[in-house]
Amino acid sequence: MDEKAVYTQKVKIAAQMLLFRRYRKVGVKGWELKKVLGKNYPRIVGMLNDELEKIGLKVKIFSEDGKEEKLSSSRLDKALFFIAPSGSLTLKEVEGSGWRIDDLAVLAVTIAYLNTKNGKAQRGEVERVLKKKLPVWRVNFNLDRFIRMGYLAEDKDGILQVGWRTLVEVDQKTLLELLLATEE
Amino acid sequence: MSRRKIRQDGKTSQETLLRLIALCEMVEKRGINPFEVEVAEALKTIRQMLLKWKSFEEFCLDAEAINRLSRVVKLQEEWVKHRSSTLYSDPELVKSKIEKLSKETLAKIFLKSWRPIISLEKVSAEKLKEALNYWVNLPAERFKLEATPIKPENLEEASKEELLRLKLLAEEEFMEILKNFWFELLDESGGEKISYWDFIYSESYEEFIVRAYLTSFLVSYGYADLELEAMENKIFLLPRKEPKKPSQKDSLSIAIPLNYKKWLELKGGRLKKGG
Repeated sequence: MDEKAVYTQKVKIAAQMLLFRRYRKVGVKGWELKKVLGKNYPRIVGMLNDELEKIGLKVKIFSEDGKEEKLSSSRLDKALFFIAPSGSLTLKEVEGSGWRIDDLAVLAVTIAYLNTKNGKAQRGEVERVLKKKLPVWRVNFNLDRFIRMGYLAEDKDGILQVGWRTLVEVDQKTLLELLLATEE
Repeated sequence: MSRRKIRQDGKTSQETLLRLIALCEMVEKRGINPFEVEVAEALKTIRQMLLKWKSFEEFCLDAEAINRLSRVVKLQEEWVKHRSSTLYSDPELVKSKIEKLSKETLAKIFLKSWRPIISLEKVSAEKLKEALNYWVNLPAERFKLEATPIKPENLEEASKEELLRLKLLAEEEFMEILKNFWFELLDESGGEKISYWDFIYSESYEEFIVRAYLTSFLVSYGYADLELEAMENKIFLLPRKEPKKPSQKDSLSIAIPLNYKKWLELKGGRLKKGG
């Protein structure tokens, strides 16, 4: 097999690894990619990224502490790789995936509120803020659901904070800026 | 007398330390401004009290207080970092914005800052092969049932427990479906009572049956109450805002017959109404 064919094959494998979810886990760790694709896996991921960009997607890399990394980073092995849209989605698109306006509003309000409280707050406090906008049954259901999905984290004392998924999926700075700049 | 005084002082000092530990714990757990704790003052007090400690427990309490204070100092550092970062916004301003903006606007704002992880669920070729092998290697007796003609009267209704036992349904999945259905009832009824038949009716007969099945669980699990107006032959559903499991003592079983004829009757009634 010539070199080009080898790389093409590896790009396909990388795409499968990044797209297909295994059990409940999403994303792939750098060391997992290294094990399957070899030492130069960052190059293969780069090639996959070029292909994905053509269809509005991109490979995103986040370090263990929730910071976005580049392919040139020296700590890729422990980082999490996944595929995300390169642009923002429309309401219609997300509604097709089972998300409701209420779900998105709960997440927006919770993340923004937690930010004003230095990242953590009592669940009851967050619930009180949300209940002003949404029915009580939806507030509790959504908070529990977002904790299960990893967008929020709750400790045994009922303290809520943003979860790993918020760190990697949500640009919190943009969220706050837009929230403050939007007028109705 | 003086010994007693010293013992009393020790007790008061212990209480001071316990209060300090509780304050630090509260700051740590509730996300309160860590600068509410006067660290320098607290350290000075601890240093003064150190001379009074005699027992092992008292020294442990002293160490615990120092440990809690050090965590507060760490929180103060994080607090300053957050305030100086680009993520910091005036809390009151954010709260007033949250209150003013509609759900739709909040959702749209969120979408602009959200890049969700894309993932697909699949069955691998290996797992398919495994399943095929399992199927092929099943003993022939297992298929005898297939040869037996199934008579409709032999069919039995599968309960939720039966579906869970056969692993056709997952508990978590069922509860999620049920909760979504409850939300639908709340949305549709606006929290008021609604006609049972209007709520379970669907354009497809199959869905009509599924809705009736789920509604029976809504009532059994305390997400809604059933109200009967026997004189007028009407049935109403009254959604609860907080689910409450009905007690065995107060619960009643009500059989509501469902069949194709009833569905056709409801459909006909709707067509007439629609003109």
